[in-house]
Amino acid sequence: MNWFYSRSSAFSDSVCRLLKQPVTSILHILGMGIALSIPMGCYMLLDGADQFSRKLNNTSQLNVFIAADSSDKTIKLAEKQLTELFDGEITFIDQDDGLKQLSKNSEFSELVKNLDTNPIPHLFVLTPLDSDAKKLTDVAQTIENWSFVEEVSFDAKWALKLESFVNLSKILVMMVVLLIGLGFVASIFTNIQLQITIRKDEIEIARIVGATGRFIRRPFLYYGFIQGLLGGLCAALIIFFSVKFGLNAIQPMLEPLGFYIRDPDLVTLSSPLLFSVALSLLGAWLSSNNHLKKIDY
Amino acid sequence: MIETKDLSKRYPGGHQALKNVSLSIQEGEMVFLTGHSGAGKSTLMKLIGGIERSTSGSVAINGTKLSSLNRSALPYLRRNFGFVFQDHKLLIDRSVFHNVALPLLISGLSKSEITTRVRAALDKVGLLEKGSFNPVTLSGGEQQRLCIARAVVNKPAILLADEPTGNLDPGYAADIVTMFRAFNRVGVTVVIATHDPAMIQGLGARIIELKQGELQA
Ligand SMILES: Nc1ncnc2c1ncn2[C@@H]1O[C@H](COP(=O)(O)OP(=O)(O)O)[C@@H](O)[C@H]1O
Ligand SMILES: [Mg+2]
Repeated sequence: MNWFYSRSSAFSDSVCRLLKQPVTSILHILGMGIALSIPMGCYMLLDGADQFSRKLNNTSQLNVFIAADSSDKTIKLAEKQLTELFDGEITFIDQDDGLKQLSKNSEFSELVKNLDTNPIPHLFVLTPLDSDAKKLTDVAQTIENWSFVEEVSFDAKWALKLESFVNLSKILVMMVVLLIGLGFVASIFTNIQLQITIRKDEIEIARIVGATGRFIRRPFLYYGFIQGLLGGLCAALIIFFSVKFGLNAIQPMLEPLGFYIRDPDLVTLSSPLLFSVALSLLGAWLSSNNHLKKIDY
Repeated sequence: MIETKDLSKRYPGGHQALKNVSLSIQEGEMVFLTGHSGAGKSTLMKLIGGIERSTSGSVAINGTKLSSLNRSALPYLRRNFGFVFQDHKLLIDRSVFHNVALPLLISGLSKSEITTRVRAALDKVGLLEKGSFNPVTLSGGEQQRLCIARAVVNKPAILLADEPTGNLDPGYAADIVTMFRAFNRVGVTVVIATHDPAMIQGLGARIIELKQGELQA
């Protein structure tokens, strides 16, 4: 009970101090929230893009065209080499089938009828088992060099680019998060230092009447904790509402593409909260420690 | 109870405030520390109370050398002292009650015990009805009495008063001295620093005189 009383009075004291300067407190908390929500939001967008590129990779195929005038022997050789090289499903569409498919289209049917020779190349469609875009690119490059191959079309090329872009961006976002974390600690540090300066006399009096370092540090830690909590909460709200109302509005346009941004779940929303609380406590601890050292505690 | 040996203090900046002060104060004694302004009275009080560190020499309280205590033990030692200052050092954004409650809150007492003890201390100095007032609304004499209430609320063994009557008119000053004598009579060791000879006259208490940081025989 006594334990609780001295702590609860330190806690309510810290709350009072925040309330005493409402505008400063609100601005500071808002600043923390915005600073945190930007990298968090970026990360969520990237996560959506990541799934998008994965989906693209899943549907990606390699189309290998063999010249129309190739002999049966060449086609057999091609099939053999492809099976050796490629791990996955291989479908062969020969030039007659290709022509038949083309003539089904009414626009081309008349045109096809008037042809003397079949100009359509033979086609191997390679569907990979896994969605490793990098591996598929390597395969495409090898096949492109074979003499009997007319062309290799590869629709996953830009999916690969997107994937590496997403990965790079994730690293960048992480760096931004780290920098913001540092800025966070610095900002809480100076904020607490200001609080300490304001309460210098009070600290001196408390010290004289026998306050321990822990007692003196406590209200500042609470102050940092409350600020971190509110800042994190602010970030979580910003993310939640911008996803709810902002991104959900454009979701219908993105969905057919397979670009899907998940609703922020509890884990996603609580991570800025934890991040913010932990860093604020760290900043407050460093700051109060620094001061206690100065007054030779 | 209080024992100093070759105690010296040089402030950062080079000023030698105390030079080799060796003295001993017994339990239950009432002692006046005198000397001109700048003689080192406040410095000596702070060294005894564990608020400042000495440059050399030692202070022992009940046989415990302050220099042998580590940082975390020092606050507990300070709780043996009650401090009264000329400039009061009150929290001007708290009520009279809260000012007196601070040492008890620090000691970790329960709310009900804090209330009882604060009321008793305020009663002793005649400020019981002013518990909810802000200290700045009190007169100089009342502020000094508030400072005394805070110093004694924790039932300290030693009372250190630095110029407690400094800027009070003579009537008030006599009241305050009477108050200290009352505490001394119930067993509290009292050390009062003052540069005012009028305060000491006719009390028959022991007088320790400092001159430019040195003890006068
Ligand atoms: N914190 C300090 N820093 C530097 N010098 C100080 C400090 N406190 C006191 N002094 C110097 O030490 C000397 C003794 O001061 P003090 O102990 O306050 O004397 P008294 O209380 O007898 O007037 C004075 O010359 C004063 O200027
Ligand atoms: Mg002095």
